[in-house]
Amino acid sequence: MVALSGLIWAPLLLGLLSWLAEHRQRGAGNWVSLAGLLLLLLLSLYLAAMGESALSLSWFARFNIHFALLYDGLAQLMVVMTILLAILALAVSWQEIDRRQGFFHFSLMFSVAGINGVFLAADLFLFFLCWEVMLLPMTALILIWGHENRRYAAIKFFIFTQVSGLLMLIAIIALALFHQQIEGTLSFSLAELQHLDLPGESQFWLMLGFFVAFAVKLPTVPLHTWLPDAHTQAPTAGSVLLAGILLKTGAYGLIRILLPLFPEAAMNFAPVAVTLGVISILYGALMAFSQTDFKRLVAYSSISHMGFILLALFSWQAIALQGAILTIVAHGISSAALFCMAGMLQHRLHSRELGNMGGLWTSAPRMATMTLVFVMAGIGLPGLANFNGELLSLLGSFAVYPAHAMVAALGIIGSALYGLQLFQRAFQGPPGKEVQDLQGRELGFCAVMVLALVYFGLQPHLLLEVSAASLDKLVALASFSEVRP
Amino acid sequence: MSLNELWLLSPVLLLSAGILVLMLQTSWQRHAALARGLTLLILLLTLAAHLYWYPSQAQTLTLLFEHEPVGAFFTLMLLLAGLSVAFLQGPYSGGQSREVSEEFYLLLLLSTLGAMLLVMARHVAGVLISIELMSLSMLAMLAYNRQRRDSLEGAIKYLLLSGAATSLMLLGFGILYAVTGKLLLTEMLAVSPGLLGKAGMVLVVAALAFKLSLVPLHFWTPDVYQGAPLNSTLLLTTLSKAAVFALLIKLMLMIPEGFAQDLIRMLSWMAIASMLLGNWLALQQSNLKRLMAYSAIAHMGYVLVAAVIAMDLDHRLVLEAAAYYLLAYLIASILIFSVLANLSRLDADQDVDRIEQIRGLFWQHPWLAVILALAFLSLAGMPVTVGFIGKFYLLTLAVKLSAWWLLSAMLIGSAVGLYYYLRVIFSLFAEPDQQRHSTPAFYLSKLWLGLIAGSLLVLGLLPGLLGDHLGRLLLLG
Repeated sequence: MVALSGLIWAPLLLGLLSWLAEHRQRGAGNWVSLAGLLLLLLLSLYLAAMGESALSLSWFARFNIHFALLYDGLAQLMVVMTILLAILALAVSWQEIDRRQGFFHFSLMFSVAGINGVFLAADLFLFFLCWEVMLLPMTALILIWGHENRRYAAIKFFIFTQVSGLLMLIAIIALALFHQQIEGTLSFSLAELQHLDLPGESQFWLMLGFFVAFAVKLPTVPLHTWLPDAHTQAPTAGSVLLAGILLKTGAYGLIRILLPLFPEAAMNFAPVAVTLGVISILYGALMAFSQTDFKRLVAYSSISHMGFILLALFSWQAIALQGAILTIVAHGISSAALFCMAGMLQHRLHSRELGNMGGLWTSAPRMATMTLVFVMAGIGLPGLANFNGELLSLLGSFAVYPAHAMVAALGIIGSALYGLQLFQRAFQGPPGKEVQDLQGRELGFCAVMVLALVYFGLQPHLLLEVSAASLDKLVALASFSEVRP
Repeated sequence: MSLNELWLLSPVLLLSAGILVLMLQTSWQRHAALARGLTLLILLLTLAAHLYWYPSQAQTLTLLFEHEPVGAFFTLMLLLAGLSVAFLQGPYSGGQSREVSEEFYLLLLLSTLGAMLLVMARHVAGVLISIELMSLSMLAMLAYNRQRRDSLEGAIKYLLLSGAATSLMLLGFGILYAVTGKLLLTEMLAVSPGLLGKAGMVLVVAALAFKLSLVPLHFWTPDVYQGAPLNSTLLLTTLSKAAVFALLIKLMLMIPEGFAQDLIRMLSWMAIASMLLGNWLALQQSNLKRLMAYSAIAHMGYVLVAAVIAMDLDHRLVLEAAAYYLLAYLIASILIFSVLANLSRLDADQDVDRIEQIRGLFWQHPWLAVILALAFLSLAGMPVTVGFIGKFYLLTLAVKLSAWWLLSAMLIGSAVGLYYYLRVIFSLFAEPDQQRHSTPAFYLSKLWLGLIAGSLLVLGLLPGLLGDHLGRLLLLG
């Protein structure tokens, strides 16, 4: 279905359009982008309603590369979430961006195009292309509209992801050449490569190439150091997209590519990966606890939450996989929400230091209440979306790696420590500075996020049903693979 | 010589006749715009003739030259480089330059002629004549602005070292002749040489490595690049590199079995050293021309990977990879130097070539800055640019033949390279601190620039357009 490719090129066109509109009249870009994103949302929902769809066009015949897209349940979930979070990013920076607004809108829409490409790609060459291309607008967002130390953060972000991407590229090429060796033709198609029977040794190295790329994006300790800088220095819209969606491309890559392509190697590697996940959980929580910068604290908490996803995916149990999906969505909402809060506070106070806050509840009770909900979601309060994800992740991994799961559960205590500390230092205590409370637009999107967290907290099965087909395939693969621990 | 051969030679003959016409015109009446128009016309006619008689089979033309697809494809790149310089010289010298402007076009045509002959050469004499024709006319272009001391210094350095390199090559060919008694390249390399013959071959390769500025014969590059006027640097980094590389890869494909192993080892080390050292030294540069010089060293290291593997097997992919990568490198270099030339004047004491001079360019001249950013991204091998496809070809080649050492050097080199390319791109997007003017619009030059920038994106987005046919363009049958 050709309309599917619209999810990739339409954002680009719309981005150009809003750049032009902004050029004509200040403020028009906001509305054009909003209208464009709503249109995209409609398109993605419409296509999702039509069921699973796919597209494949010949692209580079010399290497048998296709422009192949697949829009199945999992992809639908991620694409819709991308567009929704892009709308949030737009809403939160409606007035915050004070210079180069036109180019800002273009970058925002460009990154939506790249991220959609990653979620839709069914050809590894295309996947890699989008994987790298989505870096460009994101780097621009950090570099141009970021905070004081943006240059350093942008370079670090770009180089980390690029270099790890190169390893993945080599693995992709080697995979295609293996296909040529065994089947006679080069192939980059995800579906065809899944049937490949690779020798064990090379399977391990190829898997490692992909794992490094995805682990940098996720991020996993020890490849996480770009994240605190990038998240802290990015403008609010950038942080929202980074935390909400970009980190999830790593998890998505693991689910979509690494596990199905190299089931045996992944199983053999699982103890290492799971350990890395647990270390990330604890390390992230510990580092978050010691931060005094609002955004940096949330950034480290992301590392901690992403550890749960790694733990869940590599324990490869049906329940754990479901937990990973729920965590992806829930963390997408809750961390994006906390970054919005940080952004709005910074807009008001011109500081992200927790030491400069304190006692804000008196002047901004609505803001404080909303933040409390988001913090509680991050801690994993039952009834909010994150709880389901983390519970299922731990439940699933306990069956295979009980010791790891038990240690990982300590991370929840950690999250309570840093979450409550964050809230207490920012909003409680003797009244300090006066800030303006949430107003119309801000109140609107915060309320929507609170509702979403509660809704998915109470109705997690909605998300699971959408992604069920994709997960079932993965689980079926696991039961075929012989090296189950 | 039959009529058919004469027709096949017609691009070269056209170019030679054009040089005479231009010379007559200049001596009759000096007129910069006329000379420029004439040059463009000659080059376009040559291109048209070349495309019309694009070889479908190998055919010898006299004893010295031959008409075959590899050389023909590289000739396309050479004409691309020559045309770009011709289009660019107008805005750069600004019509009314202190230096005489007509001779530049003459020298440009002469060096293009030399380069075209070089890729067609099949005989030692052909190689020597054409490489000297190319280098000597380029030398005069390197020192074109006599007011600039750096320019003269660079040209002298190039003259001495290039002279030394040529004599090395002569000595090498002399030894090979003494051993084999043949002067045709194929016959010369047909038999497995003894130690003496190997020494001769190494000397020839060293001379070519000098022209390609491969480590350890790279020392002249940064100074010459920095000193020369932008346009001459552009010609040096595109025309001479492409032509010499074509010769190198043709020689590599002929190397006899017995010698391949030694040469592979030697060239592998040169490639690895070039990739690592070139990228490493580029890190420290704040001058864009020097940065481009070191990046040229690194990129020549990358293409050398293809030449190294050429001796192994799979000629088809090797040639395609080398051609695509070199084309990508050419496109990016042309764009970078064109943008800089659009901001500089030949008459000025200095070109605009320091990084701080292009700070914030994006907010003042968005198109120029976008082109510059795209070109640097292409050099860094970012997807959607042609540079990525070139890198993809090379990586495929290296993975296919399990050349893990070369592959790791490529990886490390690209990672380091990323940093300094990013530094330049980031400064384009910084807040501007000065007002700067681009030269007044030369409609044709801008059109040409846009065309090449477009091809950078198109070939990156739809690699099949060229990639699917490259095999047919480069190989017979």
